[in-house]
Amino acid sequence: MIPIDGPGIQLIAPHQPAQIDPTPIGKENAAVAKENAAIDPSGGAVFEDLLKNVVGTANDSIQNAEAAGKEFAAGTRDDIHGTMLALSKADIELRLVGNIRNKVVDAFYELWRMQI
Amino acid sequence: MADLFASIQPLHSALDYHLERHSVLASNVAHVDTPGYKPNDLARVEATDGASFDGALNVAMRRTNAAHMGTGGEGTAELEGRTFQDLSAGVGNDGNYVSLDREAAKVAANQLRYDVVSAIVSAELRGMHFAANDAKG
Amino acid sequence: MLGVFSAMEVAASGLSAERTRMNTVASNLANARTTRTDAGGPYKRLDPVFEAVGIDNERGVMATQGGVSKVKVARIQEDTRPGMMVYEPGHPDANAAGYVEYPNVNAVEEMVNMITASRAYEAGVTSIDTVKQMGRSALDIGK
Repeated sequence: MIPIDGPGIQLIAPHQPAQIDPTPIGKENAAVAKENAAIDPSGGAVFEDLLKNVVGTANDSIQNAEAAGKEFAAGTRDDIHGTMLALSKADIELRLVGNIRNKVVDAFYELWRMQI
Repeated sequence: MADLFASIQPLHSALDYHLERHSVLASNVAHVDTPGYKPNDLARVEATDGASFDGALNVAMRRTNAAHMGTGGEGTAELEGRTFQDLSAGVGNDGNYVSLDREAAKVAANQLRYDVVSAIVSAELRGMHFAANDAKG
Repeated sequence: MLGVFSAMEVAASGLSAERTRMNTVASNLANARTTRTDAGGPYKRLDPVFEAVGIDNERGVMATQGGVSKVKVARIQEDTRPGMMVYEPGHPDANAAGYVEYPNVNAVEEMVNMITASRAYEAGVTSIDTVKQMGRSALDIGK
């Protein structure tokens, strides 16, 4: 089908289904580990680091927001919108971390149920 | 469990301080025509670490060594402010130092600060509420 | 920092200054025919002299930032212009030639000053209200 923008546009190639490797059921653990290592050499640590980062920044935001609130209450800080922004950011990051945790736990339980 | 709300305590004190200051300023406004009246204001006190007598002696004690026991439980009365006289508006012919404009501006600023601290408390409690509800709102 | 509270401080100083001006106008109008004062001579009209000062907050005086400053009444100045001389030989304050010197108060000028002061006062009140609204609406961030 010619796109409406004109014939100059490259036609999109017809969709090719992805080649999915068959699940290594019945293979040895060592062989599976070797295969996994070939695909992802860090062994899943990238995801762990990502999670730690997110939790770390959320924690920093929350500390920051609490300090800002305390300073405003003590009268050393006059910035209303700055304080409210810091609190909102902390709130969003806390919710983000909370929801990520929920999703990870849910995914874990999915897998747990699958094994049995 | 007590440390859970440790960050709320200074905000609570700030709300008390602002409320008290409003009363002081309202009394100044009421005395705008009183001869010889000198307006008062409330200054914040240095925050103690939470230990103070029950208001019976009207003294705030500071724990000088971490190993000492505290003198009061949670929720005992703390000095919220130190009253001082604010004579910067100048004196009128009747000896009255109250400037209505200055007092009105102070009342407005005090009210705004109270509202902001109140919003800060709400925001922090909302976050705790979310966490306590197992991160499900 | 130039925030909501410093804006209130600045506007409030304007209110106080205009109120002082109103007081001098009232004094001038009330004494428009006063030929005898404690200092001798007729009443001389008064004028407040305003000056710009730095904003102070709870932590001390800030230098005037970018020209933003409070207004302060530096002093109240007497207007030394000579008053009106009216020939009234029977008046107790007449001089040797029979002329009485009346104060140099011009009622029209004073009325104009009064109206200006009143409008400036209203503008100052609006300014405080507006900045208070701005502070309030900042509380809705993240609600």
